[in-house]
Amino acid sequence: MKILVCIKQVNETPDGHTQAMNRFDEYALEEALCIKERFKEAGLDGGVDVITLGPEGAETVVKRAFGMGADNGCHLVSDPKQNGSSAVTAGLIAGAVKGCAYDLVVTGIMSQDRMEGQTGPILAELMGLACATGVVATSLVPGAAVIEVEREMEKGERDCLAMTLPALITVQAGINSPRYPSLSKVLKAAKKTIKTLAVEAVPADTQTLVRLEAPLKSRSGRVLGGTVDDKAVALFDLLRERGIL
Amino acid sequence: MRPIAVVVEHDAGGIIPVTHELLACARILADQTQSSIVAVIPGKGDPAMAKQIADLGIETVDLAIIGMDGYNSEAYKGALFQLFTTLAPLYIIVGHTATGRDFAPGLGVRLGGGSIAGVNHIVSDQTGPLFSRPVLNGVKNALVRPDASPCIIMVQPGAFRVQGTSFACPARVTAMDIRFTGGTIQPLGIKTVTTQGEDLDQAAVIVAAGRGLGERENLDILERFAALFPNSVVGASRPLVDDGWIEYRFQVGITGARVSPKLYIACGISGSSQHLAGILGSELIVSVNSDPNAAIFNHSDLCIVADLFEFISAFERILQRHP
Repeated sequence: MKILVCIKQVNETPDGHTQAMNRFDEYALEEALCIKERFKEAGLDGGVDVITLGPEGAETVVKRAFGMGADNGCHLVSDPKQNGSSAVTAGLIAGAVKGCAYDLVVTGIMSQDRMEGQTGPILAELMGLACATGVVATSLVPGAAVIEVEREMEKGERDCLAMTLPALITVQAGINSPRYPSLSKVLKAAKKTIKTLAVEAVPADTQTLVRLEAPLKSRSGRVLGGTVDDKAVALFDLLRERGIL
Repeated sequence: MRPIAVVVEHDAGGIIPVTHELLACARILADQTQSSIVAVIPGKGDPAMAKQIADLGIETVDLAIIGMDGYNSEAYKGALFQLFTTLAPLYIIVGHTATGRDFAPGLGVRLGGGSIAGVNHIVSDQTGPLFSRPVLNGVKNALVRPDASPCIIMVQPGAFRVQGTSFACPARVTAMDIRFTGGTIQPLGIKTVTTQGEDLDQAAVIVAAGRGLGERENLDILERFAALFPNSVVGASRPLVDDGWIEYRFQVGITGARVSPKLYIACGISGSSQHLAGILGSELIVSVNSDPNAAIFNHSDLCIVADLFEFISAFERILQRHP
């Protein structure tokens, strides 16, 4: 069972001082590691590779993935000025893993920063794989060529389906509890090499960012002034007036 | 003239309300681009559903995907690819929902076009429509111009207001069959996991917790705060439910409950679009957040920029003085 997990480094704080692995990718990696372990227990081979696209420095997330238990890691080094859409990210990843016969590709449902949720399903299309998004449960019998998944729908419903491998799933938050990197694995990770690939030809993007603007307000948004006590009094008065308190 | 296509969302119960938001978005685009609108219902073929849409004055394609049993992304992508290759729409409007997110990005690639996710607004520009989508956790909107055609617009639920229906002449329905002969995906049915939202539905006041809560132990403080209001309950944004701090049935947002209490107090919630879509029906929205730029403030009646716990203590003190 050869599994690929796509991971991304994102800013945890708006100033960019703290960077971390995209929270949703931790669930993706954890799910892949659990599947690998199930295969190992059944005496079958399993391996988890991770790939990230990002500027220099983004390999930190690959090291973290090693610490969690990933076997191999690849860093596609992008130009920090380049800020392509999911279509570009997926195109570059598809190009980099061409010829690697993965049985399963796992991504997070979306990135925390862009929140598009498109890299996974676009990558599936480019790799010619069946795809299921928003997966909240997986089950597969080691050795079988099928993965059963449950996709989260609205209203607390789940769409259950079986996919023939190879396939791609995007994993919803909450599917598992991502492990912390273990000390022994972190120490071993220091000796591991990260395969580094330079991004050469960037595929044409499907969209251009024209500008950023402040979101529209859907309500009046009256900002309460004064001390914290003044604000508490103002809320208290309003709620009394409205008969809520 | 290339039309604007709308992919109708439906389930066993019929047309899902978000479809009308998609139509509202399509009308804005149709006005800006002088295009016509075609609604497409991918499914088993349902003349009654098709008539419902056509009666709104919108030309409708009742697309029966033969061999598909329940939603199947392969079947959707295959059949819609065939239909749209002939129809050549300029834009394809899809919900940014569990279903739309599943098939639209791949369909865009297959059609040689692109897709824009989470669209919440359309701006008219000299070069054509620009599509707005949230970035930086909703603090800003990015205005994006599509460079590939057709462009799939994945509409954020709750973002486009449904206009009251005026009288329209019923439009034409075209029935169409496309055979699906895939086989890599086998649907195993829909299962219902929880009867959620009952407490949230019945509460007059919802005090909702977000990541700004910091520590799990702080939930107690919020419970105490909520208890100050009659008929109240503590709700939560998704990350807290994912981390197991609070049960799923208290989750507010697209993947949880859509609520409409008298008062919604968002505590330490940044205001992701997923969460916002679930709270817009509230009568009064009050937000407490230490970050003055939090997106939630754009959708609040009352904005309280303060440390959450200092504010709660101050409020408790006031209430003690005015029992």
